Amino acid sequence: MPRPDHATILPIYVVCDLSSSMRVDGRADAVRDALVALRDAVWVNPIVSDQARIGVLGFAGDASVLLPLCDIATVGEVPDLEPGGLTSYGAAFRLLRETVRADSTQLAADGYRVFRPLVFFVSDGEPTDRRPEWTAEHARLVGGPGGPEIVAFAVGEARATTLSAVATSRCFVARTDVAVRDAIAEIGDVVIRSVVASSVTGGQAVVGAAPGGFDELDLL
Amino acid sequence: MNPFGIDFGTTNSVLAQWNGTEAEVLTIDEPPTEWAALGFDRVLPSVIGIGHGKQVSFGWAAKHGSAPTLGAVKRLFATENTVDIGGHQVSVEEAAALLFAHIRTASPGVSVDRSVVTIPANSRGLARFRTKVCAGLAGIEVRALVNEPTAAAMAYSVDATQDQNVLVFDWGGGTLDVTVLETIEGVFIERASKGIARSGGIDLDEAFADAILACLPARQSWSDVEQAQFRLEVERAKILLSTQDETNLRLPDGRFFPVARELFLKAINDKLEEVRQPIEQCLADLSIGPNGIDQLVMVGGSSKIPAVRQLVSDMLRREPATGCDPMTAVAQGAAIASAILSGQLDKDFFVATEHALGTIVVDEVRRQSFSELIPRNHQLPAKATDSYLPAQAGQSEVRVEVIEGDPTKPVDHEDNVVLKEWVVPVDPSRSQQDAAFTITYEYNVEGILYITVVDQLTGRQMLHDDVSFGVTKDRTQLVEVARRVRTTMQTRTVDGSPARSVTVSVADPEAAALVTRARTKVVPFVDDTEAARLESICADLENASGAALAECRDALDATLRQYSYLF
Repeated sequence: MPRPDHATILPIYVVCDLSSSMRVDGRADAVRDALVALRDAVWVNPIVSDQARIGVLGFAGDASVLLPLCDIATVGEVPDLEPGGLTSYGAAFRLLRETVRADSTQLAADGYRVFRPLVFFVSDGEPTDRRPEWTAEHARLVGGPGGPEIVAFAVGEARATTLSAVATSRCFVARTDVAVRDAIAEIGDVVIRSVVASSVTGGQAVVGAAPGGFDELDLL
Repeated sequence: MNPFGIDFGTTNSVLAQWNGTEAEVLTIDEPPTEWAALGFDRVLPSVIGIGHGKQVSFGWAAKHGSAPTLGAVKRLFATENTVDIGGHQVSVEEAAALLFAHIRTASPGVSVDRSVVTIPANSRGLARFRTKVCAGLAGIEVRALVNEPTAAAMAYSVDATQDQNVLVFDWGGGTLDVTVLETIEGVFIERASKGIARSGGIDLDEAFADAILACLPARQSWSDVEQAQFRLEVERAKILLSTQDETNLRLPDGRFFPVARELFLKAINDKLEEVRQPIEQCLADLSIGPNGIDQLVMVGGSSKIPAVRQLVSDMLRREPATGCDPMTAVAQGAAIASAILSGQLDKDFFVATEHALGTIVVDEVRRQSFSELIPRNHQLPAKATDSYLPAQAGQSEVRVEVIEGDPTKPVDHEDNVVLKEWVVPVDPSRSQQDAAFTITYEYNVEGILYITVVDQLTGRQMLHDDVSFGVTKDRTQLVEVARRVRTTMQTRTVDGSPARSVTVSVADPEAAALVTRARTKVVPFVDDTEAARLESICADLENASGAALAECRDALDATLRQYSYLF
């Protein structure tokens, strides 16, 4: 793809929980709907394509790349999501670290200046791997050079204390009176607003206000 | 994973594994060269040491070190709650669990996650439960508890399908147990058992040491370390005198003192004569003579003493079985049992109830008696149901007590132990006959007894619970002990949620049982983070299907195994 020398780019990753509990009440469908809305929003805001690349990872007992880092406006069909299995945060962080490193290397090789990656992490449940295991993977992810900023969203059974340990910049927790499916839709809106805002500011990550039905935790 | 067997001994412990063709003893300690040559290279002295810096040591390192030690922890199982090791108060469970934890990973490249563990022939109630709980606290799931005499007989290839009487003479470090087993259709049935609780190598060493000290010229007082060195030298001399007539004993001051076999035999003569009594008693109990015994199996370190072998052989007019080291035979037999139970060895062997199980009932004059539901020596799994009435009309509740032991003896006899009791509400407006209920016991091969009480009139289930090991303990405290054991093993130094509602929606019955077990038996007793993790696995399992169901079920099963001491 032709690009101006020294253009900057913001890698953005959406990491979503696809454990078995996401089968409940159409939660996984809500995630897919949000991804479709994100693609459509980028399509109508061409500036995003100039400033950001978006990738999608899913995790359950293991993690996988659902959509490699790309200009999401060019994606024809958002893949179906098949939730099922455990909730391994460790697997998610491991794959995310490997993916971020590989993508950043590739973008730099392509001549881009790469902003610190931005991650939107969404989970509806507590990790099923032991805390020392996933926190070690988390530390490797955020500790090294080029480690991403993480914005975490807790919905369903995920606990604020756990997601606040995942988040590095912002952490939002859905109120218990909000249906998980609706909460996921709200997250989709925040991701869209943040992606567009970040692109307008030239690639600096900007995350908007708390989605409706969510409380923001003070990470300090 | 190879099937493992553990002989958790009073003085020495042994780990064996079935390697596909034989029960192989694994090296779990490194004794000094002079002890390795005596056959001690495959046993771990059951000794824990705690140094002034709280460093913990095991086996030979503890036995030879200067730190205060605890030995013979198994002897404390039936009576004690805490022990003092060098000023550190340690619960008996924690001490035993630390030994199990050391055994678990002491053999290079081996991690024992599941094993058959042997228990003394006569142990019951608290001692049996504590053995299973302590292994579980160390991360070892007990596949089955097998009696030491049964394991010994299996190690010597006693054919359980051939009906015969086997006398097992087990004289180890701490106890003497004589057991006559009858083999019927693959089950080793204990027909008679007599023992001397505190008679073993430790006592022989003491008698020998006293005899040697009486022969020594006047000496200065020895320090604790010197006395410990002397005791070790006495033990070594005792072993050497099994194969030679004389040896030199090194005294703490560096001088040597010659000791002869005669002195040893004279010193232990009273102890030696004592072993006749339990053998004679067993034969008398069964009304048989020496000819009624078809096989003689001798195990335990003290059984290697030629004078002991001679005495027992003469009494029973037959030679002991050969082909196994008496020091390691029990663990090897346990590994064989483990192989059979896991389906890796095709032989007839069944785990059976060691004691009768029943409930306590009262008659018209309020006299209590033992109503037997599952008899002794019954193959597992076992299931039995019986009907009961409230003792009198108008009762608003009945007390259901599970009792283990001997139904022919009074319920308050020391052989009878009440394992658990419940108070179950009944309708006081009903007549006595209308208030009838059934009690069903189901006892599985893992030694877990399930109890169900059903109202006969309506068919309503009034109670469903299990009598699990350690149930009378504070489970939160057990989790804390397990954490302390893990920390101690990692650092090598000693370390001085509300219940959740149970809703199970999964269709898979095995998964549903796991979820129920997690939520009722573990989640209420662990810390918030672990409770949330378990709850998350349960939630994923409840909503899983296909391959994900298997993944979640296996994950929950593996997690619950780490808490086997709570069940």
